Amino acid sequence: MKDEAYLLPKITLEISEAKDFQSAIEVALKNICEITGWNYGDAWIRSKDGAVLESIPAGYRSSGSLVKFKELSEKFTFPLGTGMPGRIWLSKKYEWVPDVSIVSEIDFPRAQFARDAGFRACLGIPIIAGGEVLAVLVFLMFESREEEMQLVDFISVAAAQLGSVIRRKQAEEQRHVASLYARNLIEASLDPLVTISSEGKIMDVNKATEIITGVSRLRLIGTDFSDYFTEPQNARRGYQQVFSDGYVRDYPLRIRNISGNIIDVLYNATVYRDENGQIMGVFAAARDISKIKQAEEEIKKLNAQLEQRVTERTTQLEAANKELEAFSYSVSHDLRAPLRSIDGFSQALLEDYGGVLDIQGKDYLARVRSASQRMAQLIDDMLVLSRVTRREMKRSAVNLSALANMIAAELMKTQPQRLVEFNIAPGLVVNGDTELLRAMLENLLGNAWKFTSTKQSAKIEFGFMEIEGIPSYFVRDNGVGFDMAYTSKLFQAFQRLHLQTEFPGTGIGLATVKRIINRHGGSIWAESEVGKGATFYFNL
Amino acid sequence: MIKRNILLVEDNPDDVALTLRALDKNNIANEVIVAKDGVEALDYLFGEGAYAGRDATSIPAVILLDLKLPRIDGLEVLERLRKDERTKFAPVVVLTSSKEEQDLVMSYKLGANSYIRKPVDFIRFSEAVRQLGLYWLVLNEPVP
Repeated sequence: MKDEAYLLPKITLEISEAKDFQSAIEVALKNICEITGWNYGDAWIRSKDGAVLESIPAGYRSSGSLVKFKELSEKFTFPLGTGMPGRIWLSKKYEWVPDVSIVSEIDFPRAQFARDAGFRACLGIPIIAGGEVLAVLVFLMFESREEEMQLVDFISVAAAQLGSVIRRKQAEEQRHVASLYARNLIEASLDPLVTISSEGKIMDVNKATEIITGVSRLRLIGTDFSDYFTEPQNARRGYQQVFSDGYVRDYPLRIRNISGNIIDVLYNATVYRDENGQIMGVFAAARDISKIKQAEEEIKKLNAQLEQRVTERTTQLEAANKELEAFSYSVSHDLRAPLRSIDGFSQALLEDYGGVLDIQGKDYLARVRSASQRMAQLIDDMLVLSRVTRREMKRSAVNLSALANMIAAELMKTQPQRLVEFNIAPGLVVNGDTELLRAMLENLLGNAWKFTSTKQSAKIEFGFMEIEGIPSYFVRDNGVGFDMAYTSKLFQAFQRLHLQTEFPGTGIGLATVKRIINRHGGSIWAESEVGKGATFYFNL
Repeated sequence: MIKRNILLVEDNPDDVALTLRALDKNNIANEVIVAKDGVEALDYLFGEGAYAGRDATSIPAVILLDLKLPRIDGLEVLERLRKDERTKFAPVVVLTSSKEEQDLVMSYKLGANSYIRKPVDFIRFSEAVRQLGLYWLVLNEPVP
């Protein structure tokens, strides 16, 4: 071994040009073997789980016949501290064996195969970088040789070179993987991403930015960020704010696509720094909110239309209500006056001319009076029905039990001679319009009173029960009842299920009740059987 | 003592006849002045128009006032006479067909002393007239 030191720069260059770890080792082994006369070289690294050392595919052989030894070697693994590679890994020092053919298999597990291959001298040397063993190189030659310091030094230097190259390559590889990962993330983003320099120039963009602007990456990079917005001044203010505050949140801008389309976006941006903490630029992400904006516009438009329609309907309704009001007022005043005349003058006839009328004449006049009074009652009931619709609802807590008790007391005053047992459940309170609910109960209890008038012992009940989970109330009597076949007519105005002569009435009461219940958003229905009483159920 | 007048403000001649009949039936003998609309009523009360020269300080014992009247309606008559010093305490009984809430509320708001709805049944009407006659013409002590 002479002055091979001048070859080191060449080796270093070749190693550093290798494309990866494997080929760098390969280049190193080949160069070292050829320069320093070794016939075989291989390399050992830690297995993935770190438990043992294993050989890597790269290696050097001076002749093809050594393939077998390489193949056999690849089946070996060395636990740390075992065999030459294992010992060197721990000691971080080279080992020189002048003749492996005469050492035991304990010291050199591959001794038998080495002997078979004709190997004698052996050198193992660690590749160390940053104080860590990256690999162990093992060289073998066919002749026996004592340790040569110069050779060891040369190989040590080459190994050190290899170590630093490998380390650099590994770091590069990691960086590459990391940047590839970052790039993929950036490209995977559906939001347009852009980096901006302190001068406001675009430094980098992702695919989404190309799509939203309609401009290619190459044309975008280096141009003014603010050029792509409807209000460049605003865009400039935006990234300047990021440089001064460190960030912006939901900064609204409008991108002008090359086709002329305007896209509403919200920008979120922060500054980003190099490893020394120096601000390198602004990283900005846009969110396309044009769809949301469109939807908002649509909602606004629909709301405006709806409001317009509501206003129109309300106006119509108000007009209709006013008309109804005027009509009712007129009915209330004008329709009754003629009836008063008919009744009044019939009575005057009876009083002043009763002497010249026979019984039949008087009977006719009595009928005229009765008819006019009945018509007056009809008019009154109709007005009540229409008032139920016209009346403005004033909701409050209403004690139905108290109302029912009051109505019952009034009914008993009208016919004190009757025997009627009222059974009113206490404490039934609902939310509703007191006056309307009073009118409703007056009708229901009044009906019960009326239709039990033929009973010796009448029973009228007002109570509460849950029906299909809905709080419901009922008015029950043991009166004459009605045929369920006519139940559909029950709640219609002017429909009656009994003769006027049996049970007087105008047929408006239950229509009024139903309207009151409807105005409270509830429902009413009835169950009955002829002769067995009736029950009216309602909920509010 | 001279019995004070009753002013009946009523446009319907049938109602006038029936009211007079009811008063008569109940032996109410006060002189009844009939005004056929609001204008006539105010003229009488303030001694103007057809009643120019009437002593306006002499106010009726009771004014029976219909609401639906030609030219000036009952509510306006009520409002005007309550504003006038001479008539602001005159007893006014609104005697009308309707029991519309708006009529009731406005009548009382404008200072009506009573509100009576004329029943169709003449016998009941006559009873109402008897009672109001008893109250306003006999029992009530007018403002001196």
